[in-house]
Amino acid sequence: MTSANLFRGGYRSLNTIIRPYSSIQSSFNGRAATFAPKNIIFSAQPNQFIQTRVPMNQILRSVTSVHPHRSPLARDEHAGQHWTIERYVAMGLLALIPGSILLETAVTDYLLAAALVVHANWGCHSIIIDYVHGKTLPKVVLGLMYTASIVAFIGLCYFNYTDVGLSKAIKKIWSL
Amino acid sequence: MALISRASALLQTNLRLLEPVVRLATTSAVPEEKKAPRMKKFAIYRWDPEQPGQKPYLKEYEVDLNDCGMMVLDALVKIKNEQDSTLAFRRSCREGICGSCSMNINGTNTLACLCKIDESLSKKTKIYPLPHMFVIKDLIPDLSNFYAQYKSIEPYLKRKGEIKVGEQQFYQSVEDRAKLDGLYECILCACCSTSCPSYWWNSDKYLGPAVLLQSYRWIIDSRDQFAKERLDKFRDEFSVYRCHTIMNCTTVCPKGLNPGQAIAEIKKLMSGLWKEPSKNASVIPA
Repeated sequence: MTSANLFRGGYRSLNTIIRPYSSIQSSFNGRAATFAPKNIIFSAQPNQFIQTRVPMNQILRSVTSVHPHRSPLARDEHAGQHWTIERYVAMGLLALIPGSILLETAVTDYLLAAALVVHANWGCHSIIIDYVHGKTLPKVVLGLMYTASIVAFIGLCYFNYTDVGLSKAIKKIWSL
Repeated sequence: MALISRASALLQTNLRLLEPVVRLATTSAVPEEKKAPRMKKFAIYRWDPEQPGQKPYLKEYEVDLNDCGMMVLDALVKIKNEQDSTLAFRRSCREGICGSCSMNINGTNTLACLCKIDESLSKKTKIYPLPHMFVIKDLIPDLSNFYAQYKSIEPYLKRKGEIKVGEQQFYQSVEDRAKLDGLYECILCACCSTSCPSYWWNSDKYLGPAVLLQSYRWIIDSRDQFAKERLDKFRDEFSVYRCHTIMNCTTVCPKGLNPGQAIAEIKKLMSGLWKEPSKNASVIPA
């Protein structure tokens, strides 16, 4: 761009405002975006790319056009019900925890064991979906979590059956 | 003549007292005594796509607040005009109605035109683009994905059956119109969505507060007949249910709206336990 053609008849021509052969890219913390124009070839050296001559309209399209990288989502017809049941369990726990400690019956102990495990399971499920990304890793982590939940539930049931039971145990820990 | 001679006489007697008046006569622009410059530092995020391999960095600029408007956008425009024309940012209306100048100022997403400059001169004002977005240049984030998500919720009136364009109006009662208050004001500046941690981690699948607020606006519009279908589109793990009521969206909204509540209302409708508000069909011509 020479300064001679900066002003043409009092107006700036478009190619001085938008450089015609520039490589417009998007960056997040300096990293190239997923939709960098394909014509820009990244060379072997890091942080260096060969700038090829890309037509302006193509660059503009690559920046301004719509790039939804929205992966296909697994439909879940009962998503609304899941949410509702989660709320019911959370609200139920508010009554169940003091209730079982007061009553100290076997039924409330088993209910408490089930509700606590299910509640923790859903909480962890949500965290894993939020933070564990990829194709196989979430499945592995979710599998581990379900195993842990089942083991926890069996453990709590075993404790209820062979030992003093959950509510008495909580009271004992509290009295320390 | 008499006035002038009187003035000169006064001048002789008390020159110092008259000093401001004399200056007023000569410059006529600054009515008060010139203040000491109040230099305020702005640290601004810079990244230029045309510099291969360049990492983003903060560049500092100093602006005299005596000679600058009171909002951060005024300072940005002043910097671009007087100090560094390469600084890139979006702006248009400068009064909080277009939503162009959304950016992260001192750690909070807001519109630069509605954000008053912090006048304590010892503190730097740090300006970054909207967080966790791809950057096109300096303070300009790439909103393509955000707009694509907005498009995906079909943000327009949808009717069942044929509409004869230009023949009839779809009336709306005052009460039904009032339900849209707090929703229609959204200017899609993306401050809320880009402040949401859930949107940071899952912006490819989670729609985010701004788009969901807009969706709710059409779900409860008495003239729209596709509320059920609109809600059905959200039946998956990500579109809505990544909202964990963190409420950053409501905290930062420069228009004072409550996207968090709109999402909660969507969840309530999707649970099936709440019915969508009755749509006043009596005022809609058949």
